[in-house]
Amino acid sequence: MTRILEIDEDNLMAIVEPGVLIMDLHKATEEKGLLYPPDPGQESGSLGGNISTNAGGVKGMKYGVTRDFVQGLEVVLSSGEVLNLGGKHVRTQPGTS
Amino acid sequence: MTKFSPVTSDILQQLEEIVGSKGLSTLSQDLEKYSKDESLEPPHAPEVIVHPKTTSEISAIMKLASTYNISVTPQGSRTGLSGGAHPIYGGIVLSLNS
Repeated sequence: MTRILEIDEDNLMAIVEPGVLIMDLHKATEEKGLLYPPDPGQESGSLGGNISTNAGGVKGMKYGVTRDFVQGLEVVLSSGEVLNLGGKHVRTQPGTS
Repeated sequence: MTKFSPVTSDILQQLEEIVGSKGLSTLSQDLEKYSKDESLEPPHAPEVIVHPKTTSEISAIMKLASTYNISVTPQGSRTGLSGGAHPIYGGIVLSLNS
């Protein structure tokens, strides 16, 4: 659960697993000349925790918080049901902002 | 307060069938490691730690836990500062960091 599955340069989207560390995503996107702005200060934190807490941090003042950069999620409910919410494109994202 | 059921050997066996023997741990040093994040809260030891690899494994774990009423605490890299990753009811720690 620690892999970056895809960085889609055309849609400016990345698909990641929840255990990916913020510093690893920053490194991978910056290598391609892209920016993932949320930086809550704990570079060793993971994306799943950032999303669950809607992490902000200092850069949140300028760029917005984690919620503003999430277009879709694959979610497992406590019953075990798997939901696919949103997607790569802006018009496919009911429930995410 | 909600009462959760303890993790029995039967449930450990079922978890092992889902994630494999390498995907789960009940060693005391692991239970200690996964009992806290970076907050100042006192630690709460879980009963078992599972390391799922896929969404379907997580789904199966959640199904098992909800059937037997066992508490599940998802954890990432445990860098939170407010105790959100503490397994305060024991039970299963769902570690997404490996």
